[in-house]
Amino acid sequence: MTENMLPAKEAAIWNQFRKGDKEAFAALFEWTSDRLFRYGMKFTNNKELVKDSIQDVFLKLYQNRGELPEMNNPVFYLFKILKNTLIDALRQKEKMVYLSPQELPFHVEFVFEPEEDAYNDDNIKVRFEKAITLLSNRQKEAIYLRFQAELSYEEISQLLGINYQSARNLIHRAIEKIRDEMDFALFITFFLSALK
Amino acid sequence: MNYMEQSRREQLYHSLLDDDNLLLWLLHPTTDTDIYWNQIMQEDTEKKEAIDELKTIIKGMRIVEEGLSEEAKRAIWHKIETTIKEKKKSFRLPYPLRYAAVLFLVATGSYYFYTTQKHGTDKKINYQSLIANSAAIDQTSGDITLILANRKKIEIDESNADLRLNINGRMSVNGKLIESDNPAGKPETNLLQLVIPYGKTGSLELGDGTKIWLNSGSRVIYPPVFAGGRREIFIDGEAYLEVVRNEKLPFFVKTDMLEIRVLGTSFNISGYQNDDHQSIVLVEGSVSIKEILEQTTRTLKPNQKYLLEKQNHTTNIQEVDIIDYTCWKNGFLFFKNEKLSNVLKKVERNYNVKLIYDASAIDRTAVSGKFDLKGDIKKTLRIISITAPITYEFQNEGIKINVKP
Repeated sequence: MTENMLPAKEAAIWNQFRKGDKEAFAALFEWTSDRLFRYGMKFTNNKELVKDSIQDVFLKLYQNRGELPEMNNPVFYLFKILKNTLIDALRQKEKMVYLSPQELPFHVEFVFEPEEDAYNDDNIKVRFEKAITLLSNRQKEAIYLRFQAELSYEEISQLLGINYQSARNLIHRAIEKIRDEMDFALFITFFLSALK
Repeated sequence: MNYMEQSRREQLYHSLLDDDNLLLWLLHPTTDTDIYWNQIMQEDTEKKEAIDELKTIIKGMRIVEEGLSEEAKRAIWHKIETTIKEKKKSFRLPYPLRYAAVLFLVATGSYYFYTTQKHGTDKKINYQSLIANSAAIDQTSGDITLILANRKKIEIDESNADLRLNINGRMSVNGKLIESDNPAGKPETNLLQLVIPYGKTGSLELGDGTKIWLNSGSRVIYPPVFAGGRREIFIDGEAYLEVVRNEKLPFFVKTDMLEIRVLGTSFNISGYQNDDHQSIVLVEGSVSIKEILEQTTRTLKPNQKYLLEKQNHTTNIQEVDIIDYTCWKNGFLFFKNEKLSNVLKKVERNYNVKLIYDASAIDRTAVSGKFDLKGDIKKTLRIISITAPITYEFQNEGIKINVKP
């Protein structure tokens, strides 16, 4: 993401932690554990598994604190470690023989709460929700990472294990589907004719 | 639309979606970027349509998800700490940290995830016991008082106090920095109270930029920095708020009877303990108001007033002239057919005078008029006595108000 969108605070904590600052380690946990939990819960409904995985992530970080890379968006890096940790844990605990990142579920509940009253109608909410059901798990994940976690295409591509162009396409197509399904042009026509 | 045209339009959407600056503006608008993007939209109608559409989708999209509770967070941290300690016995991690420092980090960065926590049900702060436990303050004769988390009191010997918090919780009063080390501990024990006695006014700017004007006889309780995915303050009395918009951190204002949830908006709230009602008047934006006892929720539009009658818990919403309810912050009181009993209470608070009257005798009388709060109490009483059938008499113990027979 652009320079000013970078969570500078997190980068500062991260770098302090890399230098061995113990308070920075606690701050990093305080500051990111909730976001990690929310992201982790999209892959499984097993809360304990996600919490255990978060614990593992921080233990790994602590053990490797001397060798961690410099990061301008540590949240992305933590997301990545968490996702890999979760895939391992899911394979073991839920006895899945093989689980590729592409096959992972992504349980996310999107709802539509428009700001403008003109769009605040049940019909459009239903259409939004229908559009979401048409998206693939990876498209949902890409949308989540882009518009909620505010990650860059590059970061999204790494999290999804695909190339940059594919990540970009995922977002384009997902938004296109939502636009098609919501059909704003038609809606606005109806809205205006209803006003007359 | 032919194929070429369609493909060109798709390209436009793609390039907008790829634009990090556009996304930055949509998710975190500022005055500067508002100007920039509005200009672009003015120049190009086609772009405007596309941006409007993406804006509606991206800003309207919400995620319903459960966050990590404080207890769960502590439990995970405890396990991490124990595991590390087992490996290296001498090492002890500092937790809880000096809480203020951690909260600062949590509250000031951009909080990414919106929670559709409609009205917070998690950890409730008991404001009433907080007020009861802090030393009593004489609201009729004292100074403006700031009560710190360690119960230390700072008295401000001025008729108006302008209090500002910067993002890391440092405070200044009328431009002077206050040195106050907030003790480590839970956020609820870190709360600050600003008490504005009768005859005085105050304003408070919070770390997120939200501005609060406080009328005479009011109290606001607030944290030095906001934490935990929401912003929450408590108000007893009357205040005008300009809440800075932050969709990721909804703002809650609580009174003893109401819980108001806002995103970014301006509104007036009046909830004095000794009034028979509480009211909220919305200037801009939107607010939803929950009556705590009966759990009823109403949504307010600009220029509307929500009124809760305390006695029977009835609520109603009506259209009003907002200026009647907000002019106090500019030093005026304005009444249109207001019950005399309500007017006299306001006069007592704003001029810090004791009025002696028989409440039952004045109940049916209504008053209209505009009063300058910087002016003389005599002038105000004279104006009231013109519109309402009263006489007044200065006595030792206060001003005696009589209703003309």
